[in-house]
Amino acid sequence: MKTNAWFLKGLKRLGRTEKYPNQMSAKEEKPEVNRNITTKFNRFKRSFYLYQIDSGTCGACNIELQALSTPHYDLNRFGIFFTNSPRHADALVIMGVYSEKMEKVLESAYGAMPSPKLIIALGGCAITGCGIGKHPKLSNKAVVSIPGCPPDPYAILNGIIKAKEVSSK
Amino acid sequence: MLYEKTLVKGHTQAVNTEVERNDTMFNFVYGPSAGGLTETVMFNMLTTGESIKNMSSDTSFKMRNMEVIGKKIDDVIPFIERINGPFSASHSIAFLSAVEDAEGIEVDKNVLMNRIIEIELERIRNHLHVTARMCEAAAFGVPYNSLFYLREKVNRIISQYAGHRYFFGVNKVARINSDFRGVSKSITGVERETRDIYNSLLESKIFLDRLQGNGVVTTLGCIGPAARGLGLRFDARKDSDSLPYRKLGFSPVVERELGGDAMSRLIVRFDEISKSLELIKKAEAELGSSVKPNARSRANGEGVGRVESPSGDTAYLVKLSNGRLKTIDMLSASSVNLPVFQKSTRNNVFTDFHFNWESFGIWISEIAVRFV
Repeated sequence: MKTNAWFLKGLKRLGRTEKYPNQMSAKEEKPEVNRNITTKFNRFKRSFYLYQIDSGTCGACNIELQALSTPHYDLNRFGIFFTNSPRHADALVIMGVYSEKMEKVLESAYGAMPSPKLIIALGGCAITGCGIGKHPKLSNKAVVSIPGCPPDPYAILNGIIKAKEVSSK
Repeated sequence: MLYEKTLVKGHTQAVNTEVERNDTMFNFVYGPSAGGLTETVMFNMLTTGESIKNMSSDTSFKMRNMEVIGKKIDDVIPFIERINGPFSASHSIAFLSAVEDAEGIEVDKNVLMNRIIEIELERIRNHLHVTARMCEAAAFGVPYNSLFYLREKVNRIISQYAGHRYFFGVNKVARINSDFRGVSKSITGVERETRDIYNSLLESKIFLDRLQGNGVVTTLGCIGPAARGLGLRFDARKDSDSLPYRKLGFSPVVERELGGDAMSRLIVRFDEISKSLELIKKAEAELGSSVKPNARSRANGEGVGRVESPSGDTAYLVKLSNGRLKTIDMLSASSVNLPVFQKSTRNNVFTDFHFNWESFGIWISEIAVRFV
């Protein structure tokens, strides 16, 4: 009986995912695509796995990225998933400012990823340092930069889709 | 001065030597970058394979230097907001309260009531986040998605009223750039649905089994929902004069009977969501017609500001010189609760680790920060 109640609640909430890209507003920050780097990739036509690393964030970018797997945004419908290991990742999402100890972690994670692989810089801190510090060195290799402090989940979704699409051409 | 504890400077806490290591034990390192962790932190666990005998943590991986000393107050605020995004309102309001105390400014009632609404909205959002993460640890898809759906709804309400999802750019010295009139109507539906999820969760024995007796706090050194789950009436909203909570007839939610485990912290958080809505309604009723601007009265002085962030006390001690920041000290809830969390994991199994970790609502970003 109780199981049925849970099931019905789940059904009631099925229609909560929003259509994309209808919700993207005109004022939304647009991702910046680095055309010089993207031409190297052509393998991510179907699934696309992301591994995220927090180099020195305030926590807001982490939450906004995490929000993509919630009902409003539902990242999985685009064939994009989060993975818990860089060994299974196609893209490394870097968030936050440069910190000395995390630079080694970032390089190790990037080194552990199978090729072809790409980097996405998420948020002002990862792109420019946002006035708080320097950006991580690895952000220079980013295929797509998603600006904002923090970027809105739709802006992030747009950037990740762009990274997947551009790298598939 | 502030609980005799200010900014955590060492950041690396050695493994407690109270636990004697033997041949059956080994060190298991979790982090700094791992799938189950929202932020970067490294846990070093001394374990026999399943049971955690002792644990230390290293929060220095994402250490950030905030260059704020010697800057004008208006230039410092963006840095304070970015110490911890999810608790941005709490940090900026505690800092501004300290500055206003130092400058001797009497802040308008409208501003103070709007600040209370801000902090309570932040609390609702954070409690939804924490409880959703606990459901995620149990692989409970329906409540996890429902709670995150509600968190996103709260974020959008905040964005609608404040112009930013994390209150960046909203708070200034003795004034506020937003008006939260009418926000209680928008948030009422969220509270109703949360209550429904809460009642359903309490029916699930599988979920309750993971929380009851997990991460029992035995020390009095904790603050926030962790302390209130232990039956302690620690709450800056009751004890501090930085914001006029007492005028709203506030009394803290205290869970006396459950004994300080992850379950008690969950119950406190759910009850605080209703309490926050109540406070928002009362604060909204107190909002007047206009906001009186205040001029700064002195450029030198020392002041303290203390507010209750969603995870516990957040306090600032500032010294000003010629209208610029001379020194700053911060006490964050996470820096106080982290050692308590470490103690509470002893003799727990690793599979229960996430429930306990999430139940404290600790943010590494407010620990790993240095003011220069």
